[in-house]
Amino acid sequence: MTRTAIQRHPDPLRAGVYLRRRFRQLAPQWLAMGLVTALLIMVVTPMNSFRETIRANQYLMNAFTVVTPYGEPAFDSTLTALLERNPSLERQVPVKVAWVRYPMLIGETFCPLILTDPAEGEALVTRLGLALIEGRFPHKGRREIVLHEDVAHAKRLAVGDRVGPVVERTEVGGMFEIVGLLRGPGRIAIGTIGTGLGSRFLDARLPAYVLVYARPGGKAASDAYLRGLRTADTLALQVVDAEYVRARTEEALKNLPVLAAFLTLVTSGAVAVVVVLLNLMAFQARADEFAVLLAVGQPRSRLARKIAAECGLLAGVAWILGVSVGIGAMMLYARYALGPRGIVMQPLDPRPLALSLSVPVIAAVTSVAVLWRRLRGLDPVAVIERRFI
Amino acid sequence: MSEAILRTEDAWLTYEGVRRVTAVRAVNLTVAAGEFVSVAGPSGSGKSSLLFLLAGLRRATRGRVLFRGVDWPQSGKEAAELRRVNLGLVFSNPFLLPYLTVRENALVQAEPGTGEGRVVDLAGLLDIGDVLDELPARLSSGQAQRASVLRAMVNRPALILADEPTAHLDHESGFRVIRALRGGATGCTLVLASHDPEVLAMADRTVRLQDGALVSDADG
Repeated sequence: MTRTAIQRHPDPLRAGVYLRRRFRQLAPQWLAMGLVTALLIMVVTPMNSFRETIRANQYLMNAFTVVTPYGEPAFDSTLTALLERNPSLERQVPVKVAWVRYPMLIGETFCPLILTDPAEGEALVTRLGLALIEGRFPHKGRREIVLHEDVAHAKRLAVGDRVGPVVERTEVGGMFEIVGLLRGPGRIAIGTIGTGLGSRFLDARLPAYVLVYARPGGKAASDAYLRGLRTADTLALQVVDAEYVRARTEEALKNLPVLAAFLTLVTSGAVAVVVVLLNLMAFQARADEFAVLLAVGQPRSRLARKIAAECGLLAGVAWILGVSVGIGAMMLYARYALGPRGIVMQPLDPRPLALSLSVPVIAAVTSVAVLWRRLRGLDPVAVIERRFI
Repeated sequence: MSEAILRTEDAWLTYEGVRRVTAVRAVNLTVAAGEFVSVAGPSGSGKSSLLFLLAGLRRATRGRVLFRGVDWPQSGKEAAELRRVNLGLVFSNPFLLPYLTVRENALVQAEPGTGEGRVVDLAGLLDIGDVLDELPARLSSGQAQRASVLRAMVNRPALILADEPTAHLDHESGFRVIRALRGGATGCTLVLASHDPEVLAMADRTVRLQDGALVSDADG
């Protein structure tokens, strides 16, 4: 008898061997978990479009703060004086503000339409880091606006279209002509103030706002000053700054996590039931295997660890596959379905990924619990004797 | 006579169910180390049940089963460890894990430090050296049964218990398996249950069971 050199052997019962060689047979399990993970990501990820859309609106507040008198249609001399005493003030620009309604994934959102002097409008675009990508800026004395391209896409508007004061194509009379499109991180529309009878009528009805530009590095101090201004023991101004927009956003979106968590729990629970049933079927099909392993002296604890490792690894692989499919689908969805509609969505969002982890975790934990119970009750002799018949 | 490796003292095995069935009754049997004992008897006579008792896979309802003079441990973990290290089991069905190669199936029972050289040597002896890296689905029934013998012998067990190992094999394949068990298990004790008179004739000693009771115990 010749002896070959002694080599340590790897454990043939390790989970990876089983999963690799039974990959096709395990297709129902990893497909169920993978597809549900992908589905969950595809359901939850678009919810970030609300946040992303509002964040695009919120971005504007990094460049300026908008204030309007509380309960008054216009700034009086007292208020104007108070504004001028702002120690962090760089300068302030009186404007009128209307709102452009445009569709989100569900419902609508608004971006500000700042009506101001054309020169101020161009300066504002520069300050916001936006670029004119098509057309031109509005000319003084003409009823013209420039509009962010995402908003234009969302409303199916183009340069040359005429829109009303809340920028609806259907409004009677078409008060503004779109003369240019803007591109950049903040969504805004900028038009000329005080043009034509219609717009003067409109201007008169719109509340007066002031755009407050703070000195470099003085935005927080400026906002704090503005928020603290009081006349006759009441707040003097409504201050629309980053904090205001953030609070409004959180208020508007506060129920989204409830919906996402509910969806996650329901889908995870459903897939766990399916996966447990599939794993039970697989366990039944492997009764011979476990019976013989017990018979030849593998302790139940080791087989239990093997089952746990297999369930964990299977769930992990299924999750990675599901996440890949989900993110891939979201990238295509963002690019080809949402992008042309002016809806911003982050395909790579950590929140849905974290939520989707519940699918493999719940499926694996329930499978392990059920299969351990089966293993504990497995009588190897009964299985072996059955095969004799 | 060598020291007894296996001993039963008035061992009974009764299954409680809808009907009470006594599979093994009052068996007193001693097997010496290195002995080849065949267990004969008609179907349902309790051959398999006796082997399960001897392997510690069933606990005697009454009486005692001793391995190397000690009762089988009560703890499942200790019994499993004792079985894994000291026993080789061969059934009429090879019970190979379908997703493992012949080599890996053998290594399932191997001690952690067992060299693969032992597997290769034994496979050569069993004439399955050329299919070591095949999955069971590609083996003939004779090769599959010899692969299960390889698994049983890989740990150099002190005792091999074989239950109808040639039941589903043709004459030639059956003899190769028995030769392998005899040749590969040199120095080890072999207790083999079979119907086949030619297989029984190869044993040092044959015990006969009838209705679970040991009715004869004869040399050769």
